[in-house]
Formats: sequence, structure tokens, C-alpha cells
Amino acid sequence: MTGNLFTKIQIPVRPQIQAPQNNQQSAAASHVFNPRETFSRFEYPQALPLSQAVTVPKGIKEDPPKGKLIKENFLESMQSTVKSYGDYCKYFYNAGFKGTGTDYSVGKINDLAIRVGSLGIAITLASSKFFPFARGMEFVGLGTWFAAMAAWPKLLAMPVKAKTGIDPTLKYEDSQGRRKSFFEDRQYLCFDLFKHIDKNGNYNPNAPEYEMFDNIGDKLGIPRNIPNRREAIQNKIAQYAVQYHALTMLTAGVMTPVLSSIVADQLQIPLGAAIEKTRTVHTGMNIQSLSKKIDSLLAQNNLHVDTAIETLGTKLDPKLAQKIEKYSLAAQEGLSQYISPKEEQILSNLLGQRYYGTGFGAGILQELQSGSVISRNAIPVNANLGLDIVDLSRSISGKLQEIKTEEIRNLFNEIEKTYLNLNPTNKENINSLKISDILDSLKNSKKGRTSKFRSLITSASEYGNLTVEELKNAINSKDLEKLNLSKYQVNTTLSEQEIWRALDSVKGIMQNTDNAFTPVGQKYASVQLQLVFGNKFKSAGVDAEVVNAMNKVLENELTKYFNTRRGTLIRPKQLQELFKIAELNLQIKDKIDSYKAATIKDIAESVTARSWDRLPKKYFNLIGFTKEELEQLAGVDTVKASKIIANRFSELAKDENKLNHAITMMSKYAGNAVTKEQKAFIQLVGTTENPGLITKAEKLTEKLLSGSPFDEMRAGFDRYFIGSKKSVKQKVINTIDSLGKPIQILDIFKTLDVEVVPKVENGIIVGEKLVASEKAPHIVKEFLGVDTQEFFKKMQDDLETGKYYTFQEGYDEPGAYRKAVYSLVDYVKDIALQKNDISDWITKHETQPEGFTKGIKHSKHMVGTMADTIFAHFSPATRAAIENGSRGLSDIFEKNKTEMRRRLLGADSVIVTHSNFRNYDTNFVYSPDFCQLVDEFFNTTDLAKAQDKGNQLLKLIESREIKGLNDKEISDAINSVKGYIRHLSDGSPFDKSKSCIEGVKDIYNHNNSINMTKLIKNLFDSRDVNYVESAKQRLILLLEDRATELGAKKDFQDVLNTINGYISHLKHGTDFNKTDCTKPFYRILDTKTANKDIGEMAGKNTVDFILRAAQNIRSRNKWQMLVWSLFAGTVGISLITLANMGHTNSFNPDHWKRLKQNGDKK
Amino acid sequence: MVNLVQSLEPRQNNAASFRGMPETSFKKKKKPAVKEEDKILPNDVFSKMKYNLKKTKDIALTHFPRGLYGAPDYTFFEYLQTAKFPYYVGGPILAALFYAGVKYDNQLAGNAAKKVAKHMALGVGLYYLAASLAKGIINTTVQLSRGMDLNHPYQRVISKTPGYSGIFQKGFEIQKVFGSNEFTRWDVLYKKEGNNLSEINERYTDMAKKFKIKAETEDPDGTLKHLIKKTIIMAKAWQYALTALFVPIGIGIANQKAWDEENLQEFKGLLKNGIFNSKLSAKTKFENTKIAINDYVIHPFIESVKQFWHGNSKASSIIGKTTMSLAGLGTLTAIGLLLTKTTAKNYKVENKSDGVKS
Repeated sequence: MTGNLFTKIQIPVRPQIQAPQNNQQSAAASHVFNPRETFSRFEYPQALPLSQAVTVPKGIKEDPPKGKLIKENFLESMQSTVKSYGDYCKYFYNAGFKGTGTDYSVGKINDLAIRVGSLGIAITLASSKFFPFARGMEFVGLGTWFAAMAAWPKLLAMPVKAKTGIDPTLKYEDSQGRRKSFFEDRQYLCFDLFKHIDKNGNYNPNAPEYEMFDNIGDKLGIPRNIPNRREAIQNKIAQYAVQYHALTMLTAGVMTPVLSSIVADQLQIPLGAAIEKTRTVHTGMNIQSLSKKIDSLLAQNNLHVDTAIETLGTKLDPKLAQKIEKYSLAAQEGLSQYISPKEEQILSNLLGQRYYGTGFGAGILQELQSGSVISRNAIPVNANLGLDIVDLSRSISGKLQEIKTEEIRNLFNEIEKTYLNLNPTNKENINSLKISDILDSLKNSKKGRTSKFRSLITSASEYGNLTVEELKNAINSKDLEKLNLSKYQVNTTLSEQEIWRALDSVKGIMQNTDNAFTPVGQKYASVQLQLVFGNKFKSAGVDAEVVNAMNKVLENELTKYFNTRRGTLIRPKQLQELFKIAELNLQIKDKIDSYKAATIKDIAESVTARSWDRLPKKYFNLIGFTKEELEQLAGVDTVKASKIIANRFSELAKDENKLNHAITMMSKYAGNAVTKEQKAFIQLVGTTENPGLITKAEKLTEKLLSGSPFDEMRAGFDRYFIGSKKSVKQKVINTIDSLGKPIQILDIFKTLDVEVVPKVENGIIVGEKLVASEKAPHIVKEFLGVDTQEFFKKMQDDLETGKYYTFQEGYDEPGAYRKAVYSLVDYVKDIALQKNDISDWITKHETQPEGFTKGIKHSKHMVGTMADTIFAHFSPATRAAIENGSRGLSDIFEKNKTEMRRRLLGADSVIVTHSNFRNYDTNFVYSPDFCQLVDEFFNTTDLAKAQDKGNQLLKLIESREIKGLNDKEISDAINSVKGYIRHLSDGSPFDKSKSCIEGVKDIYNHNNSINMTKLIKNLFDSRDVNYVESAKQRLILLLEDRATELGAKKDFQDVLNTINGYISHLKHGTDFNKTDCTKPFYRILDTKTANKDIGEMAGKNTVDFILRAAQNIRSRNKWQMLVWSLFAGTVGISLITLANMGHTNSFNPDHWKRLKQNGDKK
Repeated sequence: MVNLVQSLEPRQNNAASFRGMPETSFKKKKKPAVKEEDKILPNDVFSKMKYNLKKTKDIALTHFPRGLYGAPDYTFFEYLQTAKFPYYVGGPILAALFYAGVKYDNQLAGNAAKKVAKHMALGVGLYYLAASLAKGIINTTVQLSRGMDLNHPYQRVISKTPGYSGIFQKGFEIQKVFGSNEFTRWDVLYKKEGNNLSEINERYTDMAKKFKIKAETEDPDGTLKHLIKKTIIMAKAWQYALTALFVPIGIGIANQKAWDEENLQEFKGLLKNGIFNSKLSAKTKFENTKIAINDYVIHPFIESVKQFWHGNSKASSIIGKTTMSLAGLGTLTAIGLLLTKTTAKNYKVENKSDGVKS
């Protein structure tokens, strides 16, 4: 295809093609003769190493060489790196837009692109993360990646440099100022640059030439006396460099990610802590400044929402604000306040979207529906309305006439049709027929005899003397005379005044503030108008039948008219207020949420999440699980895990010192976590004296809403605030409970350390007995006795009375006692470890029907005892250990335990009567058979004995400080006991009547510990006002106790109103509907709801807690194992290679013998 | 100003004068066997694949062993080839290390971590894909508009180290003709077996047309050289720049939720029961393969592109739109510049006697 220009183009001389731009060809571009290429059939011996040229070609002046080795410290190299990136940008501009550059500059663009691309990746990844820590880690990851990439070659170079003095990472700058790696091209090494480098590696023109090489040669053991020693050294240096480079490239692929992972993993801890601190402080400050502003608002009288908005700097949602402002403006200018249903839908959608998921959105929408802000189907009452109704009333007569005429037409059509059907031949002459004739003939027909048709005929007989044609004409021309409709022609009409009088009388029914008729008002207005209308006509002498007919028409017409005029009435002022209060709360909620997210919310990276990430692992290590146990735990189900954990806990509990140390350390960690969460609780909910932000916001909202008609909204906010507080409280309690449980379990296990040994009497084994009976748990002693004899006796008793069921079979077999003791202990351990969510065992026993043969008959008593064991107070030693770890923590744990226990065995639990607080400080024998004790007390006449028993009784009575118990009942009981003792000691009078004894027993029995359900039932069953009043007080106390479990204050108020209604009914005989009156009580006290709350509040069960820790630890161990083995493997390979570097091999057959070095093996 | 005659002179010397020189001035080779010489290689897809395979194999079997032994004839090419190893190994190992952190004991956490690991593995894959796409776009542009294949391979014969006949001996290296703009291998582009000038210059003449040189010229090589250089520089610069712009998109796409919809277990199930199942007919297998590709590759890919564009938050939406727009803009700029700046369209054909011709 190449054209021969001489032949193909008619140009005498070869054309010269020129580029329009300045276009200098570099020297490299011109074709250089390559003899190897041309004479490829020859073989060329490689040139021997050249010694330095000493002659300079004549006439050519040598450019002074500017190349130099680069020696920089870390800071300088950072500087030059930053500077070089600026150069690289320039290179890119020249290359990308002008097309100029060199291989070097283009290569550097690649370096730049890699950095920019990686940064782009990190930004992209970070932007997709929701949490600051995750975002931060993307950059940490990027940073460690590059750091690892830069560090590994330097690390590898260190031993090489130390051993030989060669720095394989050496860089140099050539005469053109380009920075390159010195050893990158083995075939082009500018060793000349070492000419003036002294033995210390510094530039020194006065030093002997190539002093450094000699130094290196000595280190390498190259004999001094061999010919061309420098060349040998140079070759060796190059060999090291090539080997080093290959090793670096071989290992960098593994080492960069490994190092990067290890470093990033380590950096997580400080990064997480720093972010936690920053977020907590930042959001906490936000909350406090907001809190102060709210304080100032709460101090104001007559607070208006606008003031609040201004003070808090609330930013209103512009879209909604604009829309609502538009309505307000329209209302001010006297324009329509009515909007279309579609517009209304848009508005409520906007509001719904804006407050979706806030917790108070539903209340706002309900308020919108309720009529205080928006009235649907309203009609404006204005001058037009009066005029329109005047017009309407005038047209009634005419309308009525039309209706009547129409009736006649229909009637006649029906008759004509029927007649023609019977007499089809008369179709032609029907017009001339007389109506009466037609009717006569129809009367005799079969159809005419039906009752329906007969009434038609009767109605039509009125027009009997007209012919068909005459009637038709009369109908068409509306000839009232002929049609006998002249009575419907009424000329009287209502005046505007009369109409307004009628409408004004209705005004009481319509809304006060707005000049509008609601649908109810419309109905009333219609009735009033009919009344006025009818009266007027009647007084004008119109026939009553006609008046009725006209009124009916009027009603229909009014309905039609109202329907056309109906619209949605909007009250911009109220809407504005509602919107502003909602926006205010939204702003506060945002702040609260951001603080929650940073602290106690159960989401990634919050303070609590971070605690939960670390604490279980720390607990796990403190409890002292072995490696085998760890492996087992990570792979088994909870049943097996429970056994392993119980075992380890028991082991730890046996050693007092270890146990106390572990508890102290656990408390230290727990105290830290709990304090953080309690801080958040104080900030958000606060105490009575020092309320938190949520409480303040609640007060503010209450204040703003006071006097406003927004009942639904108020209820909505109520629910929202209660819910907010509840969630905070739940979280805090959950953490305290979870972290306290393992300590509590260790304390319980300490007392469960029982041993059953043979009981020997006179050298003969007579059975088995418990040892360490002081420490042995009450629960065992109580249910099984202290030795075989007692056990047999109890079982025998059980068989006879049917008291216990569980241990009946085979109880008299050898070893039965031992078996029973250990299984009971195991059962209690299991409950403590994983079933202290209680519902597991409590409901099982609670629901056991009385007298049913299966199950434990006295299960309630047993459950009560178990609950006492599980929620026992800490032993003094444990308490001291906890205080050692974290001051004040034991009280927090104790309070929580009491709370949880009271909730679980709360006032409405049937087992509460069978339970008691256990106190380590007294020598109280754990025998809850209270009634028996009371009987014993009152039966004894011995003062000392009575005092002893009396003290026990008093302690028990005082411990019954459950809310809901009447103070009087307690003080009465105390007085009775004290009175009897006094009676015994000094003979003062005492009435030991049955009622007195029963009164004391009552403290523990039925009525006083009555459950809420029963109390409510009794309340409404009773007709005794005094009882109802006292029951009400007790109920209020119980309900207040559960305030957080109620939906809203409104619910509470509703319930109280119902009771007050009942009291008023009893006192004054007011109306009270008893049916369904208890329903709201049961709704809010629904046991399911209450259980849910308990479930949410109760901490993690300890088996789960430990399992999770075990799994996390094992996963982490595995990962660390992998990463570190990769690290070790790579380092190993590197070390072996490094050890063999620089040795003579087939590639490098050194023609000299290496001298022995100091470090060599002998 | 380039004087064409001058620029042609060395080549004429090369081609003619030296050929006639007496051969006796060089030592004769002992075995006058077929001498391997530097030559251009075919650049079709299969050949390139073959050469790439060989190059990859050489990294492991030749370059690394030679490097570890410290071969004195170790070249810069080998230095660069070994540097590719960590580039391709590092990313997958990082993803694998992350996957090793997956908690198998805790199913909930495990599943979450598996998802992240999956995104990471996908990210590594899409990273390499995006990088090769960026390079591919520029390559295709240059090839279509200038007739230059930037990846055109040639064989470079490496002489053996004298006195050495060890293992891992190299015969030749496969390098790229346009791999360097300073040492572009003009020589291998000549068709040496050609009988006359036009045949020898054939490759240059073809390129000249693509470069839009209006008149036919007898020295297309001399005319083109600086333009080719310019093209190489520009193309490489933009290849790197586009890579930087494309890889964040690859990573971004890999990290979208669309990839979570289908799980690995189902995919394995489909492979096992639906595709590699001997009981099924070939047609069903084909259909299943289509379904698999659509469900596990195409659909999630398209969805994830959409998700990346829209983002899941304000920041990510901005980032998604910015990165994608920038990449699009960059691509257009690159193509535009390559088409306008490297063309010889406005070159004037000068006639020595008549002056400017057209």
C-alpha cells in the first residue's frame, strides 16, 4: 500500500511534512545504529568492565555531572515526598494535556494515581458508613496499608545494612534532577556517585576515593589484595541489591496486609476511645446548653411557644412552615380558611412524614383528626349563606310543582302503558279516549285488581274527565289548574332577616371561634329553617299537607346545597401552635437521640456497646476458664455450657482469696461501665431535685400545652416522654443487672458449697449428713433436712400429708439423700446461672393448681424460698470485695436486686406471701412459716422466749415494707407484738383476742399482700366507702410504682377518674356504670405487658454472657493465630534468605576466597 | 523543523551501508544456527493471552529465582515484573484476613462479618476490573483512532551471560513495543523482510493514515515518530488518571446492599444442582447458567450501580454522584484530548517548489 511518491503523486519533489508546533526531536528518538541488530549472526563477547574514562573527546565539553546520592532523615523525606507530589501534578498536566514527558515522569503519574485512587476508595467507603468509628477505620486502614507498604522494605533493609553497610533502599538524583531508586536497574548502576562518599556514608571530597566501598568490601570479607577489588565489591553490592529486591517483592504481598491488619487492629482501641470521648463530651455539651435554655423558659410565666422557639433557636421545617404560614395569611386577610380534602391529605401526609418514628407523630395526627385544628365538612357562615338560602326558599314552591307534575306524568305513563298492553288495537285512537274510560277498563283487568295498581287508579281518577290528549298537553304546558296543582302555588317567601333569625338560633351548636357550621350545626340549621318556614306558611294559611311537602323539599335542597358548600375548615392559629410545639420537641429529640446514640443506645460504637464488647471478655478471663473449657464453651449449647460454667464458678467460689480478687476486679470494670451509663441517665432523666433533659422537655411541653385544647396531642406526648424515660431506665438497669449477676452467682455458689459425707455413730455408718452446715444453704436444710434421718422423716411426712412430691420414689434407697442434695443444689445453680429471668420457673410453679397431684404442692413456698436465695443480699465478704473494686457499686447492685425481685415477685405476684427478704446479719432461722411463729409467740408465757420470738416477728413485720401495705396495719401488728411482751413483763393489760392474732398474721397473709387484680375486684365489689378509699390509696401507690409501665399519664388519670366516679356514686348516688369499669385497669396492668417490661429490663443471663465472651475470645484467638503465623512464616522465609544473601552461587561465581569474619561460625 | 532527508539518513545507513560491510571484522560464531532476534509478535487476543500467561509464569519460575540468586544479568524489566506480584497478591490476602475474622461461633455477628468479607472480596475483584477497564478504554481509543496497540508485544532477545550456563536461563523477554516513549522500539515496526521501502514501511504507512496525514509520504516513520511519542505519553498519563477515577467506583459498587440479596449458599446450590448436574439436559443447564449470571452478576451489578449513584445518606449520595460523574468526565476528556492533540490533520504538506500545497 505504501505509495511510491514519485509515481503516484504528481509532485516533482518529495513533500516535506511539518508539524505546526515546535517539535524538537529528542536524541533518543533519532534512530541509532545498532550493530547487534544488524549483524545478528555474530556473537559478541561481553565487554569487560570498563575503567573510568580519562580522556575527554576533543572539541566536546563535558557537562558537569549533577547526580548525587540522596541522604535524608524521616522529616526531610516527608518534605520531599510532599514536594514531589506537586511535581507529579505538573507531570500529569504536561503529559495528559500537552503530550510531553519522559518515561520517568509518566511513571511518577502512576504513583500519584495510586495515592489519589486509594484516597478515593477510602472516602467512598467512609461515606457509606453510618458510624464515625467505622468511617475512621477506613482511613486508618488506608494509612496502615501505605505505612506497611513503606515500612516492610525498610525493615528488610536493616539487617542487610547492618551486616554489610549496603543500603538497598538507597535513592539518587540524576543530572536531570529525577529521583530514582539506586538499584532499580542492575545493568545501570552509577557507582561513580560513591567516589567521594567516605566510610561513614557522608559526602566528603577529601576522603580517599571510594572509601565506603573499601569499608563494605572489608565487611563482606573480600580480600584486599585481589586484582580489581572495587569491581568485585560492586558486583557483590549489586548481587545483594537484586536479592534484596526479589525478597522484598516476594514477601511484600503477604507482609503488607498482615502488618496493616495488625496495626489497624491495635489502633482500634485508641481510636475507639478517642471517638467515644469526643462524642460523649460533644453531645453532652449540646444537651446541657439546651437544658439551660429550657430552664430559663420554665421560669417564665405565660410562656408562649414563639418565645420558646426563639430561645431554643428551633429551625422550623421550611416546607411545612411555609404552607402553614400561607393559611395564616389567608385567614388574616379574611380570605378562605377552607381547604380542599386533597390539600388536607397533603398536609397530614407532610406532618405524618415529618414526625414519623418520633414517638409523638401519632398523637399529632390524632389531634388533627379530632377536630380542634381541622373541621371537616364545615360551612362558612357569611352573608352569602343568608342570600343563598333566601334564593333557595323562593324556589321551593316551583320545585314542588315540578315534582308533582313529574309524579302525574309518571303515573299516567304507567297507566297508558298498562292499558295499551291490554288493548293494543286502541293505540291509534288513545289520545281521544277519556281517562275515566281507560281507568274503568283497567279496573276490570286482572292487573287492575292488585292493590298497588288500585291505588294508582284512585290517584288518577282525579283527572277522569280529561281526555288523554288534554292531560298530556296539561302536563307539558304545566297547566296547574287542569292538573289540580294550584294549591302548591305559594307566593309567600322567607325574608333574609327571618332566615338569619333561624340561623342565629343555631349558632350555639356551631364552633364558637369560627364562623362555621359543623355537620351537626348543618343538621340543626336545616331543622330550624324548616320550622320557621313551616310556621310562616301555616300562618299564611297554606294547607298543612302542602307545608309538609314543601318542608321535605326544603330539607332535600338544603342538604344538597350544604353538600356543595362543604369544605375542610382549618384553624391556622392552632395549626401553627401544634406545628411549633412538635418542631420544638423534634429539635430536643434530635439532641437527645444524638446523645443516646453516643452513650446508652444499643447501637454500634456507643459507650454501652463498647463496654459490652470488652466486659464479657474481661469477666471471662477473671473467672479463670481453662483453654479446654474455652474450646468447649465456644461450641456447645446452653445446657452443656451451663454445666461447664457452673463447675468453673463453683471452683472459683471455693477459694476465698481468688474469689474476692475476681469480684474486686469485676467490680472495677463494672463500676466504670455502670458509672458511664448512670451519667447518661442523670443527663437524660435525672432525679427529682435535678431533672434531666427529657424530664425538662416534658415539663416544657406540658407548660406550652396547658390551656390548649390539644388533648390527643397531650396524650401522645405523654406516651412519648414516658417511653423515652423508660427506654433509658431499661438500658441502665439492664447493664447493672447483667454485670451484677455473675458476682451475685459467685456469692450464691459460695454458700452452695455443700458436701454430703457418711454419718458415723459409734463406729457404724448410720446414714449421711451435710458437712459445713454453717455454710450450707438454708434451702437444702429446709427442704431436705440436715441428714438422712431428717430426710427420711420429711419424705415420710411428705408421703403421708402429700406435701412433697418430687422425692417420693426411692427416697429410702441408699444414697438417696446425697442424690437429692446434689440435684437440688444443681437445680439452684442452674436457676442462678441462666433461669433467673424467673419466668422460666416462677410461672411453672405459680400456675400449679392447688391440690393437683403432679408437681410440688407447696411450690409457691418453694419458689419464694428460691427467689430469696437467688436475690439474697451480698455476704459481707463479697460486699467488701465489691466496694474494694468500685466504691458504692454494691449499693447499686443491691438496690437493683431489690427492684428486680420486687418486680418479679411484685405486689401482684401470688408467691409474694411465701417469700421473704433474707438477711445475713441476723441469726434468723429461715422459716417463713410466719403464722406458726405468730401462734408460738402468742402461746408462750415465758418472757425470754417471747422476747426472742417477738424480735424475730418484729424484724419480719418491718421487712414487709412493700408499697401498698397500710402503715396502720403494720403499726397495729407491731403494737400487738410489743403489747404482749409488755404484758408478760409488767402485767399491763393486753387483749389476746383472736382478731389481734389474726391481725398480725394478716401482715403476711391474704389481704395485705393482695395482688392488684384482686384489689381492683374487691374495690368495685365493696360498697363500703372507707374500704374503697383505702383501697384507692393502696392502688395509687401500686400504680405509681409501675408508672413507667403505663402507657401515659392519661391512662393513670382515667383509672383514677373511674374510682372517683365510683366513690361519688357511693357517697352521692351519682350515675356510675359498673359494667366494664375494671377493663381499663386490666388493660394497663396486663400481666403480659408487665412481664415484657421485666424481660426487657432484666440483664443478660450469665450463661449467655459467658458464652458470648467465649465465642468472641475464640474467634479472636483464631484470627490472631492466623495473622501471626503468616507474620512468623514470612519473617522466617525472610530470615533464611537474608542469611544466605551475598553468598557465592552458580550465578555469582566469585573468583576470590572470602575471608573469615568475626561473626562466622568456627 | 525536521528535515525529512536528515531524519531518514541514519536509517538508510542502517539498512544499506552497514549491510555491505565486510563480515570478517567480527569474530565468527561457532555454530551458525538460527539466530534469535528481536521481532514484533502478533497482537491478536489469543497470542496476547499466550504471552501474558508466559509472562506470569516467568515471574514465578524465572524472575524470582534469578532475583533471589542475585543474577548479574538481572534487568529492569525483571525488576518491574516481580513488582507485580505484591500488587496482585496483597489485595486478596487482605480480604482473606478479614474473612478469617468472621465469627463462626456467633451466627449473628458471623453473618454480618461474612457480608462485609463478601463486599471486600468483591471490592478486590472489581478493583482489578476497574483498573483494567480504565486501561482498556484508552487502549481501544488509541487502537481505533491511531492504529497503535499500546500492548503490542515484541520479543526481546537476551544474550547469555558469558561463561555461565546455569538454571533459569532466559532466552528472551516479551515486552511492549510502545512500552517506553524514550526507547520506543521503532526498529521492530519495520518489516525487515520487505523488498522495497514501501513494504518495509508498511506499518508506519498504515498508522499515518489513522493519524490523518493527508498526503502519502515516503517517510511515514520519520513523520510519525514524535506523534507516536506524544500518543504514548498522553495515553499512559490518562490510563493512570482514569484508573484513579475508576477504582473508587469499583469499590463503591462492591459495597452496595444489592449484593446481599442473594446468598452464597443458594449460589452453590444452583451450581451443584442446576448447572453441574449430569442428570439435566444441556438446554436446562444453559438456561440455569443464564439465570445464574443474571441473578448473581448482572442484576446485583445494575442495582448496585443505581444504589451507589443514589447513596444511602446525603454524603454517600454526593460521593456516588461525584465519583461517577468525574469518571465519566475524565473518560470523555481523555478520549477528546487523544483524538484532537495527536492528530496530524492540520499538518501542512509542503512542496519544495510549489510551497504549501493543501
